[in-house]
This record gives sequence, structure tokens and C-alpha cells, in this order.
Amino acid sequence: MFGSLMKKELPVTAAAASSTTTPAATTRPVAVPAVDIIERDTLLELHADLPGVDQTGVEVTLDHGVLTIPGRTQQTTPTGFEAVHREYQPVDFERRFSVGEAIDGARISASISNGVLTLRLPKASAAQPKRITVTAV
Amino acid sequence: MFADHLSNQYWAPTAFRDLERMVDELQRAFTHGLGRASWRDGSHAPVNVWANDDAIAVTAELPGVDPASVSVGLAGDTLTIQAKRAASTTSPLDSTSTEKTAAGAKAEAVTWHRREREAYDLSRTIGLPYHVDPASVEARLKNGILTVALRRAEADKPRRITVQAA
Repeated sequence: MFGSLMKKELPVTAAAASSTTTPAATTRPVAVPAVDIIERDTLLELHADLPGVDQTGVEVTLDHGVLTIPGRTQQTTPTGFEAVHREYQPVDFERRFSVGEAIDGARISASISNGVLTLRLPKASAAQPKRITVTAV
Repeated sequence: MFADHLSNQYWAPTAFRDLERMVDELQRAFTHGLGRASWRDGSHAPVNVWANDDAIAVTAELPGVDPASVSVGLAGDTLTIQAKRAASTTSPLDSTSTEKTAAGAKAEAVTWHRREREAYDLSRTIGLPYHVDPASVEARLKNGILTVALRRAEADKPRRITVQAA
């Protein structure tokens, strides 16, 4: 069962990797955000570091099994100042994941707080662990 | 072995992730190599310092840090930023799927498929380019970016001396 899911996913994955594009509207470099993915009983939780991004700068999409997490930063360099020390450059973010049919795409929810995006990806009911109650006869 | 299958069931195979990372690393190395400062050094809480004649702005990336877990201190010309970030979950780790079913009744066990965001408790010290007025310091944390605004001390400001014709 898992094998057949994977075979379906692979071509989608390859297409996503080859068509990686940077947003045309910006000249900022695009970085891959760090993520945590945690599986719980009924859902998967994804946390992505998107410093400088608020809810207007992130529009998560799920298209043909490819989950795209973009992040457009609101941060601009202060005007009238000169950089005297630099450890980071404001960037936009993008990361893609291939999502199998075991995830219920229609019920994915997202929130962003303190520059961290949290996605909740509920498992499709078929992929959830079943509890079978044993009744005494 | 079964756990590996389970993780691949939901997400792309590791090769895809590795490819993403490689592209990112290459882009980083390439642009840095060309002298365009489009790089991220990978350390926690990277800091930028901006200054003009009258004021200094210090910014730091602190995604996932609660405002209550940040403190900013000033001692002389040294600014200190302390920040604490919690892990995504404190739920017990699950090594195998069978254990998970067994432990499920007590505390919810979780399986990590990616673990790239580290928890930290750090302190950064930043040397400022000139004396600032301690009363002027303002700090703000918005969308995971800390901004500290500092004004130059009056006594430290350069004086303009008008040259008079003799």
C-alpha cells in the first residue's frame, strides 16, 4: 500500500524540483526555511522559521500534491543608515514538500506567530490508527 | 523499518530534501563568492547593526521567540541580547510505531520527521560604534525580528566648529 503511494509521488516530486522558480517581484535571495515536522496520532504538524514574515506574506498552497510554503519578508533595510555589522541578509523563503494521499488536503490549516508558521495537516481517515472496540458477547 | 515507511508515506523521500538543501547551499556559496552579501551564516540569532551620525539600529532574527523570553541590556558601549526559544514540542519521543500504540493511552508520543529548528538559550553581545543615551533605548519584537533603536549620547555627538574669518 505504501509502495503504490510512493510511486505516485515520485514524478510530482521531480517536476517540483525542476520547476523551482524565484518570485519575479523581488530581487531578494530566496532561502530554504528550517522546519520541524512532528507526527501525532491524527495529524502532522509543520513548524517553519520565517523571520520577518507576517500573515500577509505567506500563502501556503497545495497543488497536485505539492505543498509550497512561500514567505515574503516585510523587513526592509532602515533608510538613512549604513550597515556597520552584518550577519544576515533579509531574504524571502520558499520550501516545497510532496504530500501523499494519506494527508487530508482539504483540512490543512495554518497560522503564523512570532515569525514561525505552523501548519496542521490532518491525516486522511484511512491513514489514522483505528481503535477497534472488543465487545463481550 | 516500518517507521521509515510511515514517514515516507506523508513526505517526499529524503533525496528531495537533500536536493533542496544542496541548491540552497550552492546559491549561498555562489552569491557570497561573487561578493554579494546574500548569505546566512547559520548561527542562531544573527545580528545586523545599522548606524548614522545620530542613531543606531540593531536588528536580530529571533523566529519563534516569545517577547517575554527576550531581554535587552546596555552596559557602556555594549548591547546584550538574551533570548530563549523552546522546542516545537516537549512530547516524549517515539522510537517505534509499536511503542507509540502502547504509550498512547498515557502521554501522547510523537514522531519527528524533520528536526531542523533548534531550541536555544543564548546571549549575544554587540559592541556599539559610539556612546548612546541609555534612556533612549527602545526594543521591539515583531514577526520574529528584534529591533533595538538607540540614540547617540549628546556628549558624544560631533561638534561643528564654525570657522570665523579673522
